[in-house]
Amino acid sequence: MNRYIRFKKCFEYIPFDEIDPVYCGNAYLPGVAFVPLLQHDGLPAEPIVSEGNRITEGQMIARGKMADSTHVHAPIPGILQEFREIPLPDGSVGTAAVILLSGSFNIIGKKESQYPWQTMAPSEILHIISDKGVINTFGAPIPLYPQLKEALHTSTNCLVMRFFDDDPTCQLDTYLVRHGFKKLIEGLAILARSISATMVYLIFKRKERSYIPDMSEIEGLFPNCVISVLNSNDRYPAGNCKQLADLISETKSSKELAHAVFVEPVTVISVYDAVVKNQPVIYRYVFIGGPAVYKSAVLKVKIGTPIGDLIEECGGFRTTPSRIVINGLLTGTAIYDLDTPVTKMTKSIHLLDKESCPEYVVRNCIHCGRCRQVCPAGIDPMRAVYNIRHGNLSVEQKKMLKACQYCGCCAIVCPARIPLHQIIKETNRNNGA
Amino acid sequence: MKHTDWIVSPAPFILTRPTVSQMSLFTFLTTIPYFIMLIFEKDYAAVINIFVTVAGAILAELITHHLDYKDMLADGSVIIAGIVTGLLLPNTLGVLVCFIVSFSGFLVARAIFGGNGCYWMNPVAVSVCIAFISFPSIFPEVQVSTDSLQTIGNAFGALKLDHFPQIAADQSITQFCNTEFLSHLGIKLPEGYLTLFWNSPSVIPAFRYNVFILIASIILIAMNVIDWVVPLFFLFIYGLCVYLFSLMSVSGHIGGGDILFALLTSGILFIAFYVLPDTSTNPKTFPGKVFSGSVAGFLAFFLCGPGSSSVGCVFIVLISNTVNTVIEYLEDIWAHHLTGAVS
Repeated sequence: MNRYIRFKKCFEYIPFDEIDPVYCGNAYLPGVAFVPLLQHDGLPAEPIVSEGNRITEGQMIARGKMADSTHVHAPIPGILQEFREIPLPDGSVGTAAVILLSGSFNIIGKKESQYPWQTMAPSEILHIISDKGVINTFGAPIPLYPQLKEALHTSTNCLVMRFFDDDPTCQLDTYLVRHGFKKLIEGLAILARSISATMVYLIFKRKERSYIPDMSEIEGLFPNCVISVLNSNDRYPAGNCKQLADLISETKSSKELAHAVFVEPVTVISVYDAVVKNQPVIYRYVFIGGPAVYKSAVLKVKIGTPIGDLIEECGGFRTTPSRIVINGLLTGTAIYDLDTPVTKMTKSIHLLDKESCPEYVVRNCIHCGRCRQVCPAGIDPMRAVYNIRHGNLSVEQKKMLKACQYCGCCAIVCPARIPLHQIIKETNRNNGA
Repeated sequence: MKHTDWIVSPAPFILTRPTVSQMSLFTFLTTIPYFIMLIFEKDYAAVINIFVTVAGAILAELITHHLDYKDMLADGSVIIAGIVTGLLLPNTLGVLVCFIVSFSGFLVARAIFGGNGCYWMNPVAVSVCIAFISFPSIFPEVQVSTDSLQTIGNAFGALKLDHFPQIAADQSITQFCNTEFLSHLGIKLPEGYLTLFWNSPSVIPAFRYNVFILIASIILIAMNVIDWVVPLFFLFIYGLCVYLFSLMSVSGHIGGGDILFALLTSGILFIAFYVLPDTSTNPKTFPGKVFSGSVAGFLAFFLCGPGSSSVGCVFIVLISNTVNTVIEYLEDIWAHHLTGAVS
């Protein structure tokens, strides 16, 4: 189905072929799982098992020692063959534990436990979230525990939940809202309890608003919270931190949002599994689609499963793909290796053919100014990138660039195909933003 | 890194606009009917002029390309600009002159500034202005005389009085349209407009085939090759001025000017859709573009009058380019103000 996503700041539309995803259950177990020691922004966890060791399903294999690292658990039982450098879905290369499948399962096929989270103390919930290696995939993926801990120590505890995809082409968050709303609300209630939240914002797109059951049911899960349900518009970008904060600020004081925790469905499901089912993060729901694959599907995939295996499960390539894109067509990353594993930050895999995403060459800027017209932050990306390239970036301009939301609007409209937002992102990273 | 057949490129993977090379290709395709018509009419001098101006433009680009290595020629924009220059020069201008004006215009206005996207003066306009200043007699004179205009009372009538050569089928097709379609709407199309649409008589090829320009404009705007804001406001303001003020000197009344005649003569449409939307010289924001197009339209009326001007509109482009530098400066101040507030 053709869909047109309108830019936030311009009368222009992004054409996008939307697929209605079908849930196809658990993906096949991988014969070999490649489990990266770093599955978020930050530092890798330190291995606590050695090569040749037999490990069980869900066993911790690497420990996150610093605030910006999380524990890593074995998604499948087996023998740890080696630690190897492999390509990661974010385009980098990192160390991964290679596990050969063997032995019996502790989690799959067993009766799921139901821990009563309502009686747990906030510190206990936080401890479980840390122990199970939960990360927050709202925006750049980071460990959830340090975020929650910081929020707990502030006076106004605020939790913001986005019930739609930041990148609308990703489709997974929206799918999870439509097909597992109750689980999401319970997961959110656990998070609210963990930081003793006083304000909870539920932010929907108009279409998904119909999935909200009776509000009294929801309010029962949040005994000491004020719940606000807000509508976001259908434009892009609408789901990043800045856009949601702007939406909330229309009605509330922005001071409340200074230490707010922003979450989305994938994170909340991990929290639910960790606290209620006592399961570490060892699987992810992944949406697979695009014109170059036979069957589009949402699969429940063990972390470490090579992406090639998932494509094979979806019927293989329909045509020769030109690009394989992880986590959305507007902000995702193109990968080059089918052995790239699914990690905690993987949400979607798009296989594009040459017609839908042809090869292009980056040209000199033609000064059309489109990037400036669509930028939701009001930056002039064209001028900024020119100054970056020529080393003329002033202190003031560096400060301005920090307003960039990395939505990629500028690059989407650029006829010269200059990766403007990537250049700005890299510059901000180098400047410590 | 493993060898792979897949392309690894940064996000995004959905793009809303054609590439720079595709933009040049689409623009080139819209000029093909001109070549066909010129050959069909055996105006070989105009065709040769176009090839020569393209060669001059490329040479200017190549010289700078050699001095300062940049990927200038690959996007094809210089070829398009060369073709547009050739179309705007009279077919009576010699080959050598065409080459020199094109070479010098592109060298001064485009190449030394760094090529496509970097210049602030439109090289096409500069080249044509150099030709006009050097050889004003080669360019056509204003076709409507003041005496005829005062006698008849409208510009098109005055043009017809001054031996306007209509195409053979004009009378029969106009009659057919009037009786079959327009009579139901209470409209009557005067004879001669069809000629202005199809093949307006001029030694400058760009002034002739208005129907092709209209079709090309729809294609180029629909395919996001050119921006619609500047041309639209340029034509709107120019048309409004023509309608309101063009007969003031003759009848002393406001209103009643012939917009269609003004748009279909003196290459207003060609300038509006092939020269004015040049991205390098235009403002970047919507209000900036509206202002730029409006100023250009207003000035066009004062320089070109109610139509049939020889070359006046090309000078408007240069004046507009100068105004645009001020608009861009103001845009930067405004953007700075906005972003400062954001951060």
